[in-house]
Amino acid sequence: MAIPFKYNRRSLLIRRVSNSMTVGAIAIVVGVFVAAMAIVGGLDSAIKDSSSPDNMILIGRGADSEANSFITLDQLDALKFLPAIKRDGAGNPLVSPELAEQVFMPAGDTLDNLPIRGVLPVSTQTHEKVRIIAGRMFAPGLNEVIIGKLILNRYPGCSLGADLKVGRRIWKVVGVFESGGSSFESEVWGDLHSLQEDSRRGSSFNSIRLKLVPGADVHSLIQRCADDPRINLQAKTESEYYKEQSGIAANLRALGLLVAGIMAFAAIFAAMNTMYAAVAARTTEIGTLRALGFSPLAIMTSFLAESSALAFAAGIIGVILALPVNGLSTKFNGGAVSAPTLAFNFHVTPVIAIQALVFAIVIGALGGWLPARQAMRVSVVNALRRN
Amino acid sequence: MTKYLTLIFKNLLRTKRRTILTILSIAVSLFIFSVLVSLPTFANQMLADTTSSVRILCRTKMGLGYPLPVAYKSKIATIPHVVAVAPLVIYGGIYHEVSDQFPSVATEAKEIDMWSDWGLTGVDEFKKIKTACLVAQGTMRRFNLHVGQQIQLRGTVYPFNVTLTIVGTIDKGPVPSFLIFRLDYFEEAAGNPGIAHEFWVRVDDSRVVPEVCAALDNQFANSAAETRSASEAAALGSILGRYRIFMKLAEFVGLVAVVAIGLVAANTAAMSIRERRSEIAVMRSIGFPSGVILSLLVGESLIVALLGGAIGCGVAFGLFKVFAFNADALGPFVSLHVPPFVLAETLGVAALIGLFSAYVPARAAAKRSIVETLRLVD
Repeated sequence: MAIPFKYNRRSLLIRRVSNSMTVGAIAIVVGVFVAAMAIVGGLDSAIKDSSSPDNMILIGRGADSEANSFITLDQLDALKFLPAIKRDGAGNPLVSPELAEQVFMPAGDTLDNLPIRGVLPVSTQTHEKVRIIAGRMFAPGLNEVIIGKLILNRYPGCSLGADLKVGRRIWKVVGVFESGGSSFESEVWGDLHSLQEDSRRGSSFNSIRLKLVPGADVHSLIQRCADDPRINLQAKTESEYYKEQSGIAANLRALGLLVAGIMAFAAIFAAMNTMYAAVAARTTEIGTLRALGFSPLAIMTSFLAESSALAFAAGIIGVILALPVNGLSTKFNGGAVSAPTLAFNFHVTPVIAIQALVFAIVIGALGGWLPARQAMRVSVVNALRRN
Repeated sequence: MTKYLTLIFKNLLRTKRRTILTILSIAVSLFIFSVLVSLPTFANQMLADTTSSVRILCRTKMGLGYPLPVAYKSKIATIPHVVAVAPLVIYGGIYHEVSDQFPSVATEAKEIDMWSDWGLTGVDEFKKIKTACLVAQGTMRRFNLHVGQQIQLRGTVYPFNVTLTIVGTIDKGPVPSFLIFRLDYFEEAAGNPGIAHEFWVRVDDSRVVPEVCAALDNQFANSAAETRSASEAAALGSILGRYRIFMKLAEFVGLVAVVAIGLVAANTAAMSIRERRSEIAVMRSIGFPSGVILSLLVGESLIVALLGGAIGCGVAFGLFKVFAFNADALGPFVSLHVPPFVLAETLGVAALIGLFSAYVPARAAAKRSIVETLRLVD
């Protein structure tokens, strides 16, 4: 028969001050875990949400991202009419050549790399998540741009109707767009040809996005792009491409987990201390429980449950402590000096909260394991003889 | 004095398990603390080293994709106080794998003395051999390179590869990992684009740096390629600023770890003092002044905290001495190593934790009425 949990609850309440200190320590560790995962999760989803499931991206051979890729007009012309590419109503292929430039933007006393993307009108069909939420779309051929909602008011000139001085000219901000929380929301979008002219890029691009017809043979398309000497580009599905790009987020996640994991050891030691003290103080009680007929296993389970409950409470407090970071917006400058500045929001998702609670219970169970075993082994006679 | 110390140690050894657990708990937290606090050291050191520099960085105002014409060099050279000008092109090649990136730049061979304070070796060969390159020590170690070796970098921004011969090393450059090769090689391979991403300018006196910066930017104002010039320290500081969020996060987590461990230490101290209440009352009734009792209890917790702190930062120090961990995920300016002053800082924090965690319960125990305490038989 199991010992009623009421016993544990009351026991925990007797040593209120001491237990709440342990709860505090575990809660802090859990809070760090939640905050770290919220940052990494936000960064990760900002990168990965930039993909559309039926889109492919083409970049130069040997390039690891569109920022350091180089594509010519001839290469574009060679692939534009491949059969796997979807057409719009008028029969035009949904192929979007894009220029991904970066311009310096003052941010305090440092410079951010503000990404500015040159696109053609077709881009709204390839990036279907992009939606104007204020103002209007830029007109081709004019010095007009639209800005992602995450950089709105973040830099000088980044507001609706303002003059944005980047590159070699002054652009008029005519619209603000959102894109389902993706990294495009940290970008400035303008006319491809204007940006090519401004950055003296001739007729070259950084990447080509294309939309596939349903059921297209992705592998043969990838093969074709690599083998055809006139195309000679690496093609990837956007989801694969952005998964690669989120490598930095994976590194940060590993780092966050490492720090939280090491701190968890400190919390485990703290829980152990508390539980050992509890077992020592309640030796007589344990003897009484045994004499009443509770099995050693029931005693051990009871103490394990007690320390897990302690840690679970700490886990809830930790999640609540970390909750205010949800929705906070920050920006990330990548690992390399040449990486674009990416704005993103922290996400405390239900999954992270559940992971945190499991993390807390694991701390409690590991911390309570040895003391509970000791409680199990208390000899009835000796325990009752004391006092 | 010795008899008090003996008493402290006797008390600590009475509850061996609790003492060990507390020491370990403090050690783990202060390990994290010392590592996190060390992260920005390299960056700070770098800025401190360059504050009195006579060098200016003149960069494009527009963006990395907007290089300056290399012809600016001769215009810059005519500005008063300027004694040397070195153009720099950022090539940005990849060595083997995409994940193996380190900054690679090209400059004019005859201007390499611009950076003579970076501990360059093999400068003479660099000036003679067209395919020569100098490699920073961090890169040499990471890829196990040696002088005389040939390496190939794959171009990504530029559609060509370069094959370079390592003729020397850079022992104390501003970043742990990078490579310099010759601009004439770059120009030839790239088809003479005539560009420079930045100019390093040396002036004759550090006091004229602001004046020359202004003169530089004025010279090219309203041209097709405007510049933004700053002293070396300010320019590097602005690059470092890009990583500030990491530094801030690291500092914050370090602080949080200390708070957590403060709670653990306070809990332990309170526990062990509560258990000895009646014994403390007995000691006081046989004549120990409460001041001595207070110092005994605080001393006990101080020793535990200092032991934990010493283990924590000692392990961190040793670990990063033995293994040169790669912190590229955090940017090129972060290197994982624990400098001596962080050791002192960690021990200081440990001492504070020890003192404060025991002070409140110890004071209460030392002040509580003897009669009341002795009457409490548990």
